[in-house]
Amino acid sequence: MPDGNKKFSLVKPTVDTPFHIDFDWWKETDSNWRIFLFSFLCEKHQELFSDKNDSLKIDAVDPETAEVYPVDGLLYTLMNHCAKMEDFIPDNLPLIGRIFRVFLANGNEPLNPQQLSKMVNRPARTILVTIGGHQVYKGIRPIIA
Amino acid sequence: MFAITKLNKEYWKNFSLSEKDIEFIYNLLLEKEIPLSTEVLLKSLIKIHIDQEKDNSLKQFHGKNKIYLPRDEYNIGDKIVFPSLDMKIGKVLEIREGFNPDYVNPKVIKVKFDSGESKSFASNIQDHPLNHTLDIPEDDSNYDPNFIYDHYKQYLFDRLETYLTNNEVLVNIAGSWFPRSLLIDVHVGHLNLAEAILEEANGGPIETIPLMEQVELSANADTKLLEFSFDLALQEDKRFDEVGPAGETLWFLNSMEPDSVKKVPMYLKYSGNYIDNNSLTEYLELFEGNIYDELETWDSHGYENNRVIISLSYPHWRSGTLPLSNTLEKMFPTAYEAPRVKFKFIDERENNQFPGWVVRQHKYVYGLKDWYQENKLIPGSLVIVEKGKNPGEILIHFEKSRQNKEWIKTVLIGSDQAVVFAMLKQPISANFNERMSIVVTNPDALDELWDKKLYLKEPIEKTILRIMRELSKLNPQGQVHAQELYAAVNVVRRCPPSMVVHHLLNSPTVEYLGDLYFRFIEKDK
Repeated sequence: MPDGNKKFSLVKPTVDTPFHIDFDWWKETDSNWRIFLFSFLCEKHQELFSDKNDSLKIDAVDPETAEVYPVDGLLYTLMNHCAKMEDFIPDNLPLIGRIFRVFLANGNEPLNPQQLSKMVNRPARTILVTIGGHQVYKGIRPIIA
Repeated sequence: MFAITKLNKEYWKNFSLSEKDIEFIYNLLLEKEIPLSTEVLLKSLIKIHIDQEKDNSLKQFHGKNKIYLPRDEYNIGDKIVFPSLDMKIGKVLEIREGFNPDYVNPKVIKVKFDSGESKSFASNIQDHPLNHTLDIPEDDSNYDPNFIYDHYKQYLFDRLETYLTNNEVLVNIAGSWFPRSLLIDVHVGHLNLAEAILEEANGGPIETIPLMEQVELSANADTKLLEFSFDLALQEDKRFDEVGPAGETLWFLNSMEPDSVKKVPMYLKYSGNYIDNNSLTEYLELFEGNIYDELETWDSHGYENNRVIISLSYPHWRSGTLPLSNTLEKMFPTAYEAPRVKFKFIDERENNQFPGWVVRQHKYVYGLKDWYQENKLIPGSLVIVEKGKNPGEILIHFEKSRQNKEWIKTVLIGSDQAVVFAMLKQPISANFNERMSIVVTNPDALDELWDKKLYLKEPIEKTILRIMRELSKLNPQGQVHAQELYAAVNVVRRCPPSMVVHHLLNSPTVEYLGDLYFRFIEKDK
């Protein structure tokens, strides 16, 4: 799994800076990123996607208006189904792995290190030092306005 | 949520059956092919009215446009209103199969709005919050047919029942309705067989289905419909009476019913006036013990007892009956229609069971003549009636008296057939109400007075004063208690207590001494 080393901002993140998984970063830095994500699918959906086109689109339905948006099928299924399963975030994972799964499970909603701290049970400062440096791990990057 | 305000109390209060409602009732009965009760018909009618009003309100609000619901399917060209988009109206341009593993066979419709903007929406998906846009608010009971039925049935039930009763096309039995034309013909031979079977069973009662089986009635139709048709044929034949309590249809042979069930015993017949007893309530409340008289209405309809102690009056003692006053009516089995209901009296202490009959129309319960005699009860004895463990069972007993003999007012009949009262020591078996107790040593002689209607020929106030004069001889002060007078007047003719009190209070020859004591005004006063 190659890690990126491209600088993206000179602004230094803090414990209040929101982070998320930057899928564009994945697309740019790892051509096998979908295979990596495939491994996170549950058994049932691994079966479904194993014989589907890699770029399969799903008709996502807006929960309020029922408007339909074509979305990446694999990502949609992963975040809306597989990541919602009870044992998706095991306790024994390394910190980066757990944070990555937290973002998948919450639909990649931005979270700052303080919020993540409660979810992965590690100090916010430790999380900031881990994901707020120059090194980008698994596409987890700060959102800098 | 969509709000409809028309279905309020006024709507149901002013509700009247329309042609459409009548058609609905017919169609419902035709569709179900089984008889339905007034309650079921009314609930269905209420539901259809709620649905119709909802539809009407929607049409008024949106004209012919459909409301967008993700669960619905649409056609190209359909005009749709979108509640979630400020009621924007769009036209369906395209329809395609959708793909989303969360839904079964989803579809996607492309809609063009008046503004020129196009958007895609889901269709044929069952699980989406927008599907409940038009649902009735859960907390609004005005859309709940059961709530409407419970709260407005006083306005609706009678109206529907009156319509159904007056409708010649429909027939009713045991509270259920069905079109006469769809009934199955029951041959008179089957009815003759039913008569023979009931006769073998000492008149019955036998439930419809066992009776149907015994007469081997069968047809290529729903069993319920066959049962209903057989019930109706029995009902329309004078040889049979339906005697089951509400919810049960039991058949009895009319000819084998006791005479006192078919015909009101003469002792219970009252042909006089009724007094508005509101003004007499304060006096009637002073009566000792609970007075249950079927001619009175003061004991509450709403008050429900499981155990009632009744002080026997002479007419009921002689007839072998109990009064079916408002309170007692709630204890005994009742029926939707059957004028006579057969049930079981149980005397647990004597391990004795015997049949009883509720004669609803004339407000009495028959079946105790032998029991009164066997237990040597007298008018005034306290009879205890309790609800049995099973519906259709009434427990009956009395507390045995500690004394063997008591001084009790005793009726004596003179050779001129005049009734006189004397205090005599009489054998006693049961506890009794002192004010109500009277021993009639020769009831057969008294029967002659009743047969000849001797006392009925005179105005009731005259009888009251005549009997009062006799009772006043029993004490030196000449005082008579109204309750004792009520009991004594009823020895010679049927009379409600309010009538006795009314005449005592209004008679110019009688003065009130308080505590329900009265006496004749002395002439030299």
